[in-house]
Amino acid sequence: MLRVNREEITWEDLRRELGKVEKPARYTGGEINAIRKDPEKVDVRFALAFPDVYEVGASHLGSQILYYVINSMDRVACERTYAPWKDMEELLRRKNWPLYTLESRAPLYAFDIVGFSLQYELTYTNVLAMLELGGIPLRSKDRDESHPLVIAGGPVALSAEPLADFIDAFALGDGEEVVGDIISVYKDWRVSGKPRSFLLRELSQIPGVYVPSLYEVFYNPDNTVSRISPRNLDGFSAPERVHRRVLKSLESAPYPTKPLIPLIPPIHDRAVVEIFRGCTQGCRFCQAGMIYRPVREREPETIEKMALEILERSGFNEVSLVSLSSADYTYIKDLVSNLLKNPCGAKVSLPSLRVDSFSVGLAEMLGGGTKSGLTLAPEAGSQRMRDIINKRVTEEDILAAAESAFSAGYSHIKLYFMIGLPGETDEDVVAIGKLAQEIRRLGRNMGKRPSIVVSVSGFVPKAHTPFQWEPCLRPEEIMRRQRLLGSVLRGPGLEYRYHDVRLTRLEAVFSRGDRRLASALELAFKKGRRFDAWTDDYKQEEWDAVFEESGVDVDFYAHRERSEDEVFPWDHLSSGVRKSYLLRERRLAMQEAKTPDCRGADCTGCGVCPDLGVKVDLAGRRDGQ
Amino acid sequence: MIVRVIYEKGDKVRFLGHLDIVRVVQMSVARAGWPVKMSEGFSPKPRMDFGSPLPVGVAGYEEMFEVVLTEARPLDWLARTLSAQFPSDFRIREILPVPPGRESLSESIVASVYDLDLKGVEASALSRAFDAFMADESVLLEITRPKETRQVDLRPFVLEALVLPSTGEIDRPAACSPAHAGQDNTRVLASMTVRHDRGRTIRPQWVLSSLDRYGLVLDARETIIDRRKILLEQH
Repeated sequence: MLRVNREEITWEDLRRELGKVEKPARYTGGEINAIRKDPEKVDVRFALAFPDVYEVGASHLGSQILYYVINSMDRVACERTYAPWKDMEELLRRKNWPLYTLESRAPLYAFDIVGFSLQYELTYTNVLAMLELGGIPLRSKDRDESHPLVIAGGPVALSAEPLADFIDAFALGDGEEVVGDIISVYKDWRVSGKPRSFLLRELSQIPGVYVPSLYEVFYNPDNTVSRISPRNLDGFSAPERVHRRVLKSLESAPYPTKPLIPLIPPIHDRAVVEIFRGCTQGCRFCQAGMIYRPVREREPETIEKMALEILERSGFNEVSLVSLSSADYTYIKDLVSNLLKNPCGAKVSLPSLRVDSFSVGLAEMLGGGTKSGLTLAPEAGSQRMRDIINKRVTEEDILAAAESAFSAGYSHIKLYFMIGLPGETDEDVVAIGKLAQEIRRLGRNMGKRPSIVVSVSGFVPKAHTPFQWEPCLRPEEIMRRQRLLGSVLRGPGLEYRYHDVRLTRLEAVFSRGDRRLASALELAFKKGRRFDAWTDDYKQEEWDAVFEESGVDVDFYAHRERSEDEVFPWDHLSSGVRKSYLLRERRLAMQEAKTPDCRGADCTGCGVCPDLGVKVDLAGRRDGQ
Repeated sequence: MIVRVIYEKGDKVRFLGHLDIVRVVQMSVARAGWPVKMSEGFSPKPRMDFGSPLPVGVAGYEEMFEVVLTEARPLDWLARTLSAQFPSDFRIREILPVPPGRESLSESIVASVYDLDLKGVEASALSRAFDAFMADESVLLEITRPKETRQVDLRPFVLEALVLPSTGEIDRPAACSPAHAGQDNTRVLASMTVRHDRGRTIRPQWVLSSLDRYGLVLDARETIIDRRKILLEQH
């Protein structure tokens, strides 16, 4: 039952037109280690769709893993497509060409399954654009047996209700296993010849798969959700709650050691090894720190072997050891010093360092002679605020880190902060400036000429975090605090950067939205909104008009404090961290009380391990060792 | 040991820019395990000379780069290992040892020969426009780059611009030839030889864009351009 695999766009047509778009190599494929299987020899064709520009998507680790995992399956082919930049979308529309995959240049509609990777809420309009350009009906209810199954995964899938009408099924949690289950249910369904509704029901039976159309949402008169229940369909109903899928062990998980290497440089142009998944630092604003629990580490020997293999097979001159907080890795120092001896002479880098001297010591090990700069993320300026968000570093830690950095030869330090966090006062905002001043003074006293960049973003409350009840500040108030901070950040050697408040607000609407936002999304898409996260391109009036016309109350979604007993649009989707734990954490935040990291200390009772049947899995401390 | 690699930037990778080519070639050479000499200094780079850059959109049949190796390797070993690592549509044509003490590759290039495959123009019209261009003393064109706009006199750089007799008959390398050449009578093949002057040269696309002043309006971006040959100074 293979569909026609006609190449819709010939190379001859394409090569005469691509000269008119920016960076045409985004659309030509041919990457090193790209996999092109003969469509005649596969049963299922899967298109991985990344709703952002090629350079962002091509190096995205999760997509690389899935591309490898799916293509490892017998008689299954996985191809890729990315959001076309506006000039390319215009070209596709002008020529009436469908959005196609890079491997076989086949249109999206010819695929069996189209799977979107959702990393960020501000890519939602791109998802709709890619569906339409790919010749697929936008709404799930308008698709029939002749259309691809449209699924979506990634961190955002756990709270992607605004996309509920457009996506047939969401995959929650680690994708490595669940994607295989989805493909196998799809295969069985196709052989059965049953209607599409049957496929959706079968999918809902897979742990970790959420089929939004099988649920009904009821609302209170005040517009909040009253309940979300599985629909009763002739005695069938989907599970009350869908739990995130979690890999028990990362050590045994599949990993691409022949990564796809784009021919134009992607944003992360280096070899990558994931050293652990999950983070239990417990920062209360951080969604990733909640929804990827528990910590699961790879063994250092495995990491070294992978790193060397990837370096040899790629030709990269740098390997990045990635995780949510790489300095936390049990054997980080040994790992780094061993890897620095790699025969390829490649550099080693660590993203997301902690703010302490230990981390700066690591950075120094990695420095390799080039002391360009060091990035630290204290997140908040005052001790009170850091206690509220459970960022367990003291001012002494921060200054000690800065001191180590200066004495190691760094003079350029970049500091990340948020403003608008719950409970923040003007004093806390000013404290950011004071801290930066203090660090500059420290550097000067050490005889350096420090240059300090202070980068400040507006806090956006996220679903599945202790701050999910909190309001996002209004743009005017964030701007007032930005200016306040600006007034204390003057002087040579201090640079101040801040995020666009309009994007903060837009993200706040969609990150805790419900499925009633579908009409706003569709309208925004029809009005031509794309790449909303790209500030250059942001059009405030367009989004204002969208919300106005579709009757969306921005205050309701973004700027309202939610009551403790409110039912959230994502309450039927479980990350494994219990709502009662999140609430407790929120109350502790209000008391400025800290919660330890369960990595080394006792269980803090978030619920992930007992509820999902998993446990913290540290290197060198496995069962039987 | 210094070697010159003559390779093809094929049809399907024509949209890579020069810096992309440098990155891809450097990574391929690293994967191939060549003992490449690194530059001295703060951030060592492989010692390679890429001669004359090709712009985005232009394929090349006899492109070259030179690389300094820390120790000698047999040429067939070099060819075999690099061939295995080149991405698809990159092909090695020849690897030659470079005698020590001669000029840098970029400085010894004197001219490039391009094949042009135009659509939507008539051969006679193009031929007249080329003749008018060649008869002119100076043809100024404004080149707009992201950071600057400058005026270039194209005329002295063009040594020859010819419309080729008919499609399908010229001897074109297979990989660079148009996929469906033949019956299309609005399709014209042409050839252009362009001078290099100590690293400075012009793009054939600019010449096409300048032809409007001779009455030929065309969208130069729709022309398929391949560099057939790079001519080096003879010693």
